[in-house]
Amino acid sequence: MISKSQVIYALSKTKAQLKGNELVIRSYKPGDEAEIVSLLNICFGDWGTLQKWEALYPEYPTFKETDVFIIQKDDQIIGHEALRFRDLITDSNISLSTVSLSDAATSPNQRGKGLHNKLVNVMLQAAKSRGAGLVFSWYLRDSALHKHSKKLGFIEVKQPPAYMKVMRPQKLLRTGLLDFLHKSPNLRSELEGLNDLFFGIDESTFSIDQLLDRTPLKSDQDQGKVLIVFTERSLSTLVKFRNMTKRQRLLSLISLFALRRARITFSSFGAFINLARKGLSLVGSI
Amino acid sequence: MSAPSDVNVRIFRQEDLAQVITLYDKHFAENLGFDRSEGFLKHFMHYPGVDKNSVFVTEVNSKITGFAVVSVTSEQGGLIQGNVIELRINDASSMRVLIRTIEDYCKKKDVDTIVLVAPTQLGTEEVLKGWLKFDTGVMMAKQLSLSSLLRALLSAQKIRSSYAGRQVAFRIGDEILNARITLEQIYVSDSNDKAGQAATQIRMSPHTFLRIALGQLNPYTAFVTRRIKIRDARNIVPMLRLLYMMRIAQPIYTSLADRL
Repeated sequence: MISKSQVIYALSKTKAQLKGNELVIRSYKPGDEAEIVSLLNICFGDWGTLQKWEALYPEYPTFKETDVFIIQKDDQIIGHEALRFRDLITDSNISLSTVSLSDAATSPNQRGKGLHNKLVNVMLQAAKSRGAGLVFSWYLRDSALHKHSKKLGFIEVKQPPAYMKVMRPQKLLRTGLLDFLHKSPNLRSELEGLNDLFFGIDESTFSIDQLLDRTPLKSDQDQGKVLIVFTERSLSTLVKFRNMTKRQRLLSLISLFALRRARITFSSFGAFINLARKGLSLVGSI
Repeated sequence: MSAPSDVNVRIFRQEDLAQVITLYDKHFAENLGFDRSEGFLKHFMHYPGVDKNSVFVTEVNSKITGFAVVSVTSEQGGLIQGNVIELRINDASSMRVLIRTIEDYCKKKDVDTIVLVAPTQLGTEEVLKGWLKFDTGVMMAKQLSLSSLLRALLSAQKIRSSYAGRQVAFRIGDEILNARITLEQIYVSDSNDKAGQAATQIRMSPHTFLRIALGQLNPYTAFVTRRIKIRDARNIVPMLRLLYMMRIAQPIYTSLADRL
């Protein structure tokens, strides 16, 4: 087992390595909350409120201040991830101490520098020193974190599926699109250039302007309207979209159009040409 | 809030807590899951979006057979979501009644979608007909403290009774630990402990060990494909059987509360 002194050594070593870049990895301390929540909202879109963060961490039954780790640069929090300790009760009613990693976030302008990797290494050593036998984590399939976790030696574990009852399909489509656009900035910028793009489920539709909550863009020439309409039957595929690989997403979209669960209409030839011009870059950013 | 069957559904009361814990204990006798002691259950009942009218229990003959905690939250784009963050049910009839009550509650709260993770083996497909099935994400696992993991995996009653008195050394990657199995307890010590040194050594990589522990790799297959090496054992079959008995059955039931 790794001793506490080894963890302190690892932490100080990481601090020293990062000091050259004016970065520090440290445990959470009261007063950090608002900045952490602000970072999570930048990284995840509409992550939630301070009340949610407090419920997930300080109010968690096994919480200790040393369970939340942050990366700080010039007195600004640019990274966050937390440990949650809980026992796994096995079929023979035996407890196995486990830990879960949650809410991994790195400020968008600090990504690609290996900061998350350093943070996770420190956290896993800390969790091991406290006797956790297994660490669990949840990722979106094919996301950068999911791929990285495999390199760190994580393997996939089976868990039962979730079920969803949809009362208002249009709102679900809207939220799903917003969430997807947040995760795919390239697709967002491609779609932002399209003036008269509309989405809909069956009869009810909404425009890209309404989706992005912006005032309608004015164009020198009216190129016509593009309308993408899904049927309610397409929802069973669309709810899985978020957790699909890029290839699966493209194949699913093709099958939705082939099975007539989605259709695309153009009000003019200009609208068709406008979308066709963006075709490859749109497909590439899905 | 009465249902056509013998199942009655009502709002949770503080005095129900002991019975709800018993409901979980019954589940843990046969299944795998995360700790649901009093502290955790109370925590879920105070989660944002949960109020005293959104924690339900079902009972049959005054005995609690189901428990659900619903959190109503506002998501991105103004979507109002009813999250059944915790759901434990004994039987299909209770599940049917509880799901109907949750749906009614969510309709009153004007929610747009309801999300839940249903307990397995309760005729879920039939009760949740018309609901969409999806994955919330990929659950990943990695081995951390080998001594904690070995102690828990070897503690199963069937292992202690079948292998009492045996000592086995596990060499997992660079780490070597000796395990001594007795009827009452499992003693795990590091390789420097001369008194506890075992004659038989099972050697494998951390990845192989994790896959065996999580029931994804059969130890017999791993041995044949040379991913496991066994040293100084007169008969390797009992050692492979021991590894087989150490596995954690899957899937691991994780409620929405576990995945948050």
